[in-house]
Formats: sequence, C-alpha cells, structure tokens
Amino acid sequence: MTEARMFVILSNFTNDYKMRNFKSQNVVRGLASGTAEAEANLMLDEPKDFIGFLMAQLINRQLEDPNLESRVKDWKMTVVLATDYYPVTLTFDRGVRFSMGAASDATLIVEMSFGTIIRLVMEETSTIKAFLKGEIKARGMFRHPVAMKRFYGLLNAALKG
Amino acid sequence: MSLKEKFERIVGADHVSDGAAERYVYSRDMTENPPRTPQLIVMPSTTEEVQQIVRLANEERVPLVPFATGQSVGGLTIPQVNDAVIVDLKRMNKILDVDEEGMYMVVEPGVTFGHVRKYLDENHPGLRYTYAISSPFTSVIANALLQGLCDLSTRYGAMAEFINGLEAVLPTGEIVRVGSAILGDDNWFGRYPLPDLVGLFTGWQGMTGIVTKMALQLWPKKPFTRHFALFTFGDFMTTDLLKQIVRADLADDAGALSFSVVKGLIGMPAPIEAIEGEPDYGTFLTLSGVTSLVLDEKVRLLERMVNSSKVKEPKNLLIPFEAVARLMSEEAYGWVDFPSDSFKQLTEYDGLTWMGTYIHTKNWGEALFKGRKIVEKYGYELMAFLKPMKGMHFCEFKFIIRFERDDENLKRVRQCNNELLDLALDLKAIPYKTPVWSAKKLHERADPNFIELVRRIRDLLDPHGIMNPGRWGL
Ligand SMILES: Cc1cc2nc3c(=O)[nH]c(=O)nc-3n(C[C@H](O)[C@H](O)[C@H](O)COP(=O)(O)OP(=O)(O)OC[C@H]3O[C@@H](n4cnc5c(N)ncnc54)[C@H](O)[C@@H]3O)c2cc1C
Repeated sequence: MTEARMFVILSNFTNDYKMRNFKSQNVVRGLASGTAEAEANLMLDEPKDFIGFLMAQLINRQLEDPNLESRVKDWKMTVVLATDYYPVTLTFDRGVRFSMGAASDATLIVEMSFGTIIRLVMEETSTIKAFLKGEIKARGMFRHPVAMKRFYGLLNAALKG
Repeated sequence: MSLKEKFERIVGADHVSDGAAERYVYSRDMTENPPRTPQLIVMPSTTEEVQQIVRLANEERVPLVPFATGQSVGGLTIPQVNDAVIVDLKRMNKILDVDEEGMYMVVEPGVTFGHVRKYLDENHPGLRYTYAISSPFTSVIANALLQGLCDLSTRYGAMAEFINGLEAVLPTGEIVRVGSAILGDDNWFGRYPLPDLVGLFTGWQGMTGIVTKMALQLWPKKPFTRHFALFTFGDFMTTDLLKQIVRADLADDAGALSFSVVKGLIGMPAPIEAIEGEPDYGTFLTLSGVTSLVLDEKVRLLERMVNSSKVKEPKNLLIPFEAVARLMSEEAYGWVDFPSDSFKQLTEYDGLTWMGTYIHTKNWGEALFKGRKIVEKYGYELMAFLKPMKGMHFCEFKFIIRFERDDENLKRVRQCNNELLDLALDLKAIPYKTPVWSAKKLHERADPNFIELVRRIRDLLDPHGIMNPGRWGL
C-alpha cells in the first residue's frame, strides 16, 4: 500500500470519528465478559499501569457512544501499543481488554513515544502527520489494513476527546 | 465547683464537653501514634476567653493542648499526659484584616486554607496566599507555627517565613504581641528590626503559649501563569534537574511526587503499584511572569533545560498542563491552583502517616534513593513528596504511607518510619512535625546545649508545665 493510499484510509476514518460529539466523562467500568451484560457494555477494566489506565479512560469515553460501542463489539484484533515507557496490549474481542507487555500474536504493533501521544493531544500533530514523519510506526498494517484503520480511528478520537 | 463547671463559666456550657464520644475523637489522629484520652474539650471564641482558660489551668495545674483541626499527621494534638484539656480553637475563625498595601492578612487560629482562598478571591482578587496539600479545612496559623510547606515554598521557604507577627497568650496568662504590631493595630508589616520573638512560638508544637492572632504575608497574583507536568526518571537525575530549574529562578512552585501519587490523581484506585518502565516522578511546575514575554522566556529556558536532560534520559518529558487537562478534565487545574482540594487520595484509608524532613540540598537525591528502598522493603505504596525550598537553599522530602489501622500495619508502619528517620538523621536531615518518638531520636544526635536551651526557654515561659507537656520529648 502506498503512503498516499494510507493517508486516504486514515483521514476518512479520522473524519468519521471527528464528527461524533462524544461525551467526556472520566468513567472506567469493568468489562463484564461472557455475560448478557457484556453484550450491552464494552467498557474496559482498570489496568494497574499508567499508560493502560490512561488509554482505558480515554477509550471508555469514546465507547459511551452507542454506535461506536456496537461496532467495536464486533472487532477481533490484538494491538500492541509500544511506547518508549513500555508496551501495552489491547485485545479487542467482544470488548477491549488491556494488559501490560507485548502480545506475541499481535495483529498490529504501533510504536510511538509518550511525547508523541501528548503532541497528538495538544493537536501539535495529527496521527497522519506523525505517521508520515516516522513518529508513529506500525507493523502489520499491510497485512491487516482494516484492523489498522479501526485502531487509528479509535486512537485519534480518543486522544482528541 | 468542678473543673468542667469552671470552664463552662468561661466559654458557656455548649462549648465544653466531657462526653465519651468527643473525648474519643480528640484522643487520637490518623497516625500510628498511640492515643490518650483527654478529660475535657473546651472551645473558646475570643482571646480573652483563651486567657481565662490559661489562667485557670495555671491555678489548677491542668495540662492544656492547643488544637486547630488535629491534621498535623504527627500526632501533635494527642495529649502526652493524663487528664489534659483540649483547647479547640475552631470558633476563633475570623479574618480580621487584609491589608492590600502591606500585603498581609491578620487571622485567628480557626481560619482555614479554604476560608482564606474564598475570602481573597471574593474580596481581594489581586492577592493570594499559599496553599498546602492538606485539606481546605486545616488551619493556616497551625500550618505556619509548624513551619510547614505550601505552594509558594519553592520560592519563599517554610511557612514560618510568611509570619509578620503574632499575638499569643503566654502559659502564664499574659497577652503579648511580637513583630511590628507592638506599635498598634494596622501595623503588622513585619518582624524586623527587633529581637525576632516569632521564634518563641514556631516549631514549639503549642508548648509556649496559644497564638490567638497572626499576620501572614500575601502575594500579588501574577498576571501570566502556566503550569507544566514534568515526568522524570531516577532519583538523582530528578533532583539534579529540579535543582537546575529552581536555581535559575524559573518556577514559583515545584512539587514533585512519586509517580504512584500522579496515578492516584488521575483516578487509579488503591493500592497503587509502581510499574517498571513508568516514570519515577511527576513534578508540577508553576511558572509566572508580569508580562507574557517574561513568562514565554521562562518557558523557553525550562524547555531547554529539560531537553538537555534528555541526553542522559531521553524519556524525560515536559507536558503542558493544557494537555493534562485535555487528557483528564479541566479539574486537573485544581491540582496546581488549589492543591488543598486535590489530594483526597491520601485519606483513602483510616491510617495516614509520614516521615518528613527538611534536608541539605546535597543530600536530597540520596535520601530519596535510599528512602524508597526502605518503603519498598515494607511493601507500602511509593508515595514520596519532594519540594525544592526557598530558591534551592534547602529541600523537603517525605514518604507518605496510607494504611489500614490494624495491629499488624501499625507495627509495620512504626518500623518503616523508624528506619526512614534513621536514614534521614544519618543524612543530617531535620524531621518536621515530629511526634515524640521522633523528637527523642533527634535529641540523641543533636547538640545537647541546643536541647538544654530549648528546655530552659520552655521552663521560663511555662513554670508550671501546663502547655502541651511531654511534647517534642521534653
Ligand atoms: C492529607 C494531608 C496533607 C497535608 N499536607 C501538608 C502540606 O502540604 N504542607 C504542610 O505544611 N502540612 C501538610 N499537612 C499537615 C497539616 O494539615 C498542616 O500542618 C496543618 O495546617 C496543621 O494542622 P492543623 O491545622 O490540624 O493543626 P493541629 O494538628 O490541630 O495542631 C498542630 C500543632 O500546633 C499546635 N497548635 C495549633 N494551633 C495552635 C495555636 N493557635 N497556638 C499554639 N499552638 C497551636 C497544636 O498543639 C499542635 O501541636 C497535611 C495534612 C494532611 C492530613
């Protein structure tokens, strides 16, 4: 896939997320996996580490949107977010679960420093710009373009609140 | 007439209690220090009532314990002798004066950080006081008397430095003033040039009299302010960077916290683990300027210093507070704007204690490095608080432990604090808000002539030994 094609995929998806008017509340609720409740509630459990906890809070805010929540419920992928502090793994499987460390069977491995996360939050850069500048690197995106599109969209929306 | 009735004649029957519930509450605090039940609690509302209470106590040889809110985290209001009477000063809660031109306020001992903040914001929006991380309901006078530290201490030093003068009822019942207000009201501008007798009351933990008024310095609010969070790694690298920043006069405040405390602030529930790979410290920095240009230049210098530190530790990161607010919520500004309201996490359990000190700048990093190993050994959450003090002339460090007050924990906490104190004293740090056990350890190592002088002054001021007897190991 060319960079230009990547750009189109990412920007379409980013815009799709941007249009939503998500509520911003600092709620972290437990994942009720395997129960009837799980069907209606994709909220994350509470990781014990900083990056995991922060990302869980940010993603939870997004999942308060019922449309997104129902879509994410169908995602099945494992993403490693490899920061300069340490890696965390997000497992999407009828919900989202965080664990510390890098899963060996990851669908995607996304590398970025915590500094880049902050620059994204401050809107000093965008996921696309950061990607093009090499501040975000992704492995697995050519084999799993849909997974990557989904994750970037979610990440982008989460970091922009 | 019983003692209770005599006190009732002074303050009214509604303001004296010997009820079991009240005596229980005033017999203890949140720390591991052993409780002791007082015989009575009295609540005066004027200096004259305080004077009558002290006179009566002298006649009857009744031990008195001055009490503001009992939040010293040093067991400092727990009576050290039987049959003590607690003198709770909460009803003396008036802000008597704010002098805009001299930039000070005159307050009574029941005035709290919360009162001051609200009052100034509503009536003198151009002025500010300095705020601790203790709850908004704690006393500003007690905090200053204990030489505590607040969010202007990085620039101006311990809270006793903010005292322009005070009024006190001596243990023998006389009302005295010290500082420039010896020439009358409306003149509380400072302590010099006079024998500096404010020192007869600060650091004494209520053994030399009851302070009934105090003049405290206020500061003009700077028109341009920015806050940052600084994430750093390593005890020595963190303290070295903070020393550089503060010596360059860039920060009004630099409050550094173990990263576990930062995680608590963003809402992580207890118990909080320190995870390998996370930063070791998060420091909240406040920068200000009289113009935006001045502020921008300070920010530029700060960024340069942090960038230079990345040569040794590339993961050090300076985060504008705007980003913190976006990640968390606007409430995050409260952490730096009014810290007194933000550290509720510290009262998560029914037990809270610390070993805190002021220390020579050169020993700061070592104290942290070795102190954290002690806390880890005892299996408590790593909750160090550190502050560069008075433009880097000295430093503060403390290890806070929040705990459940069961027997096992009480024992373990005592051992942990003991070891931390030994470490601190080895590094010639001076413990603050010292419980008795800690003061006694200090005595063993301190110049004996100093301890003797302290004793003599105490005996001179309090010939019948009625003021908080047994405190500070005397
Ligand atoms: C969660 C938490 C965080 C804290 N953070 C900080 C902090 O950041 N910085 C800091 O400095 N402190 C801090 N503290 C400690 C404490 O809150 C302050 O030092 C406080 O203002 C003093 O406590 P108090 O008002 O309850 O006084 P008390 O505990 O009631 O009294 C303290 C001592 O002063 C004596 N005393 C009180 N009033 C008088 C008086 N009028 N005349 C003579 N003697 C008197 C008492 O006898 C006692 O010995 C914290 C406490 C808690 C619980």
